Amino acid sequence: MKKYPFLIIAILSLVVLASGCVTNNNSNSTKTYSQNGLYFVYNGTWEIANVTSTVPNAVVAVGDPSNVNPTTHQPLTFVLIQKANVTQGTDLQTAYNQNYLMFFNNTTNQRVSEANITVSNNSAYENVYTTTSGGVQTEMRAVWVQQNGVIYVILCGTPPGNFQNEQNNFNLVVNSFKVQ
Amino acid sequence: MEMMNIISEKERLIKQLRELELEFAQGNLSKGAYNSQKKDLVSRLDALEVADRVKRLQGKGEPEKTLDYWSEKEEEEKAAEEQEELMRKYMTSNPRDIKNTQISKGSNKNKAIVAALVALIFFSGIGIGFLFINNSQSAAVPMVVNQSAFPVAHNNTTNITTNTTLSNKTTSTSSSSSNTGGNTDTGSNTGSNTGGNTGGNTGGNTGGNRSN
Repeated sequence: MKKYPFLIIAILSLVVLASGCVTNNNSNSTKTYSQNGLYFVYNGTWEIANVTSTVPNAVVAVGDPSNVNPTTHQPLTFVLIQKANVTQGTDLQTAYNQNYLMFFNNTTNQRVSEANITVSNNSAYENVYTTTSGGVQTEMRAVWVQQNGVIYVILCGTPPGNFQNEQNNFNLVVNSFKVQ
Repeated sequence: MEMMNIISEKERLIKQLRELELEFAQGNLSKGAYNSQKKDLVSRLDALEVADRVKRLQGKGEPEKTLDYWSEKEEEEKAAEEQEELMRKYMTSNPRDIKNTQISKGSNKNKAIVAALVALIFFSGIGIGFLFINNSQSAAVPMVVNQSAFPVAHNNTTNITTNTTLSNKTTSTSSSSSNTGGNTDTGSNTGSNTGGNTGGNTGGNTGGNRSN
């Protein structure tokens, strides 16, 4: 019976200690990107990432900082937005087909699925495939969307085993994407 | 006052009765006179008793208290007042109040200790939380994306490479014959790559040997 007061005090101490703990857990919050004529919403724990100069027509990239390749600094989960390098007036379907004409020939890219989707009430194309670079396999979800006459590609990448888990984060970006 | 008279009358009658019996015992009084006086005194004493009982039954009287009682009571009251004055003079508070004060002081002290402990634990939790935040922030590395939605060789340019091997001319002279020979090789490779990795190569070699 003498142990109970000490036990109660210990439990209350833990409760008070935990209540005092503060974290920067933003799992339920989101961030907004509104620059370069683009607007989208992404996961609150993600950060803006740099893009190497070898990536053509990159506008912006965001990634999960909790899982980054220590050597290459490549975030394993990311979303990259690029402008399609096509001549003015090219329609979305032509640009999409032209890009993937030889995309899977003699490369590490392997097709998974394709679909027609809708983004912000606009028709869009989605291509899901896997690719290997530097020994690291990544499953990509490329969404081709045309707004205000400009074709953008929203490239969402993550390891294959984590692809389904990240769909909510990818959908957050894709569904909120707007050209201002 | 009336009661006091009754008491004093009773005492006087009792005293007279004793004196009567003493005189009779000494022989100073005849038996007849003794009996007569005694009867009178007893009857008067009985009347006083009756009167006393009647008064008590009527509630007009209080139990009889002697003068000694009143003087003793007065002395007790004086003593009680003196004691109270002494208590008031030399004792600041009631021992019971002192005990209650001590108990309340002790409980206030315990409450302060508990409150300080709770605050200490709470702020310790805050400190631990900030420690985790700083560690996570310090561990953050700048991210660099090196992936692209477009093919790696996505260009529409044509690459033309031309390889030309220089001719080797050898000249040899001999007594019997003279040879002048030369080898001339000219070769060219023409290749073109168009975007999409079509990878077409067309090439041709032209060359000729001419010797003399």
